[in-house]
Amino acid sequence: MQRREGIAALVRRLDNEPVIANLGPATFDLYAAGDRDANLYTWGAMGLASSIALGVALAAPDRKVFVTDGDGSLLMNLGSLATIARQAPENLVHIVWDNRMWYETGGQPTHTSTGTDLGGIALAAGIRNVARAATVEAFEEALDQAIREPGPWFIHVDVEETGEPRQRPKVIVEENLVKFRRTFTG
Amino acid sequence: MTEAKPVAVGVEASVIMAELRSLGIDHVICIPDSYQKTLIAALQDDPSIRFITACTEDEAMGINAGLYMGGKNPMLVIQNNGIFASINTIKAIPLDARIPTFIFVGQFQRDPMVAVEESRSRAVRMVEPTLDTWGVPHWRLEGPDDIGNIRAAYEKAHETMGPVALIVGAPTL
Repeated sequence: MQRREGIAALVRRLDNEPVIANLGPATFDLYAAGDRDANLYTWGAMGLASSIALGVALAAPDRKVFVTDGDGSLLMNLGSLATIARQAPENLVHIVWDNRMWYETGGQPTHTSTGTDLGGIALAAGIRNVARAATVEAFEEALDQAIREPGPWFIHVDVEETGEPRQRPKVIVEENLVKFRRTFTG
Repeated sequence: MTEAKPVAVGVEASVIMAELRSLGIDHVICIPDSYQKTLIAALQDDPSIRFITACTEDEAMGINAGLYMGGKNPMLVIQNNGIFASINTIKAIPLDARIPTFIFVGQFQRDPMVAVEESRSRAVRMVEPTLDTWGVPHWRLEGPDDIGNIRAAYEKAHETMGPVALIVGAPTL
């Protein structure tokens, strides 16, 4: 499956729930699926999408909070899995699109290409709800369960890169942050 | 023979806690620091504050950003080496994305009898020049007379929408 198919499936299920996207393809595909105030696109600080999402989830326990991450970025912040497990926010759904490469920098293989199992690491970190999907149907099934049931959830999704050009979001970072914050503070 | 006086003296954790309560701090993200041991213990015991231990300062700044965007009033407690470890994140989140980031920085390995500039520890000497290089405002907490610097630093972080450091120069009491 492709990342954009997974993101489209996620967006179809959203109302006002926040989505925090890792920089690069996860942000490009989320924007392409339809801009919304509750989308937070990240640009610098690669790897920190899951940490930002943890903060949002703790601040807004009454809303499901989604983070769409990548394998390369999560490998830069594996400690976040332990912190998420320790804080255990029931409303956090961490989705990792694993394309086994750092796509934006030229497709260099990440450690998942040689067997590192991010779902296994999440489980070992103490996140009890871990699912893996390689098809849109399997992803939707895992996502629906994560929406229905308390988390935190970690959904590890194997995706394929097609190499097709992506639309870079026409977003001003500060405006995005202000709009995103207003969805909580009014 | 006169006894040498310390350059910096510790501040009671209870006094710092009163300041933090008056600022409405509701979440603290911490990477443990031996110079703020008693403060950390007091923060952990306060039911009005959610205390979050992170694994790295980068992660702590990300969590801080999420809490702020979610409408909360967080702060960080770290040590001097954490500033060096998290420069890319300081650039990307508090500076570039303009997130108020109020950071207590313990001067780990600082001898309170010696001025910061004369410290044998490179970490102690280099914190302020590093913050200056990145345009991060900072204040010192060198004793009870500096307690007002906590509010000054907090207000600066929210006024400038960026990072501000309060440098704790002697172990809290």
